[in-house]
Amino acid sequence: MGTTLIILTVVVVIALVGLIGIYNGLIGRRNRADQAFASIDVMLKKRYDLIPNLVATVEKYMVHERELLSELTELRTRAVTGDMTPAQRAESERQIDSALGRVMVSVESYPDLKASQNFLHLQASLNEVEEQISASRRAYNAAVTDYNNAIQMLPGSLMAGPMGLSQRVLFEASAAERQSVDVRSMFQR
Amino acid sequence: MPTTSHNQPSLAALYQGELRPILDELEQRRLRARKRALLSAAIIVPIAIVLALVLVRVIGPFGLIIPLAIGFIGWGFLVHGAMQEYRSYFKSQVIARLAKVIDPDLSYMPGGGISEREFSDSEIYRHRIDRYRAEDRFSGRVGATAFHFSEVHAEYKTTTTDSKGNRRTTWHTIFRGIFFIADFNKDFQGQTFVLPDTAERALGGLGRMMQGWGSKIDGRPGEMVRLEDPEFERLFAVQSTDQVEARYILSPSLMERLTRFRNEIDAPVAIAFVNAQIYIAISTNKNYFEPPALWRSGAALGQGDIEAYFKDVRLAEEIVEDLNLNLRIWSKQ
Repeated sequence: MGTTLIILTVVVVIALVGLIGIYNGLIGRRNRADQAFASIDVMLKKRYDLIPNLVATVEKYMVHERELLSELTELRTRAVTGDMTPAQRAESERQIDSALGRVMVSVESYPDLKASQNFLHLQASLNEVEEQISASRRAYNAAVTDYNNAIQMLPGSLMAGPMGLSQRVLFEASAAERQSVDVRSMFQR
Repeated sequence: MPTTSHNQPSLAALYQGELRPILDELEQRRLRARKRALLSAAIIVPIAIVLALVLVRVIGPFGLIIPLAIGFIGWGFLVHGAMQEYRSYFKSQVIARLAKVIDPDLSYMPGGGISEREFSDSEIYRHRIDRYRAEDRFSGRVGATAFHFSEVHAEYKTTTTDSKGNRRTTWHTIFRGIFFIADFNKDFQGQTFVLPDTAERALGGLGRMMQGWGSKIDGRPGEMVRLEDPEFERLFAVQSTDQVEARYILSPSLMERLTRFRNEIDAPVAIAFVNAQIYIAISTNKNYFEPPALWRSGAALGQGDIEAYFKDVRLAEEIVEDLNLNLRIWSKQ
């Protein structure tokens, strides 16, 4: 009688410890994915901060691109102030990406601007931020993959449902972004 | 920026012109050193034998050992002196000239080396160091990227006492090979390590799990970073104090470049990104920048040999180019 009770207790304790372990593991992974997502935000904010400087620097030279610059400014204002759903957010980021890209292409036709110390410095800062954004996206993707694996594989998959954890989506380059890169690299060869 | 293709003709010219007489002189010195070694052996050995025979009569079998040991040490001493002279001639005349061909500002110090402090600051190897030697220090600059590298041999010792109370000291190598330090082209605060991946290659997924535990036992700061490039992941295990920063440093292009570099070098490579620098430790058993052995048969160094030495001296430039360390498009200039 005594031994059965002991065995039963041991089994229950082991099961409990296992459950707690799985639970903590899943929560840890979810929080890490959240944290990685927040780190993207930090980097995006850095980019928002650079946009006014960029506009101020280039508008003295760029006479024909007033419209493009005001579009960029507006996009930035909306991104900083507006409360957006993640989907709108992604769309707004995509537009900022594209507007920034167009500004950088237009710079090519202003040699004075291209050579100005101020602009070179801004360009370096922008490259820096872009690289940081790409790094935090990759970190987010790694964290989400880890999280998705955990909630889809045994034993985590048994607990994910009751815990209300659902799969998350990875960041991907939009079709337009991918295409523009392809075209450019084709011309360079 | 100097490149190999640009330097090849000037290397041939250097060999045909300036280096030829130096290499002939080097060969003369080698033969002289060898002759001296043989000659001193010819003198020392008979004397030692005669002395030994006499001493055996006087003080017994122990008398055999003393003259032979003294003779051997004396011979070693004489040969060592000749060998040192030969080596330093080679280094100051041949290697130093090759360095100048690559870049007049590339400085070479045969006796200098990466300091023990710099070596341990990288935290690539965390074992206690009991004996540290470094030689053949090169330092220079490619564009904005300052670098220096040298040969390093770091060891630790263990002492065991057997049942009879005899103490035995054994030396174990921590690292032996080329240690390279350069300015990195991006700013960062944390510490990121790219280490040879032994566990994962041998054990697959289980090895990956063990890496996680291993890093905690090892005590190196940071946690495992899993990256997207499968080829890179197969060769290396990455550990960092900052997941985002590790990916900022290890961009897809740098991962690809590191994979290619590792495959070309074909030796274990460990890398640390610490203090805004990149530290690269390449483990090899080859003793670099040394003249041909005293007992080598055959003629003086040919152009092929010189090209091989040239390639070794150019290692740093090659690393900077291969890893594109001079690309300065980010905030750090």
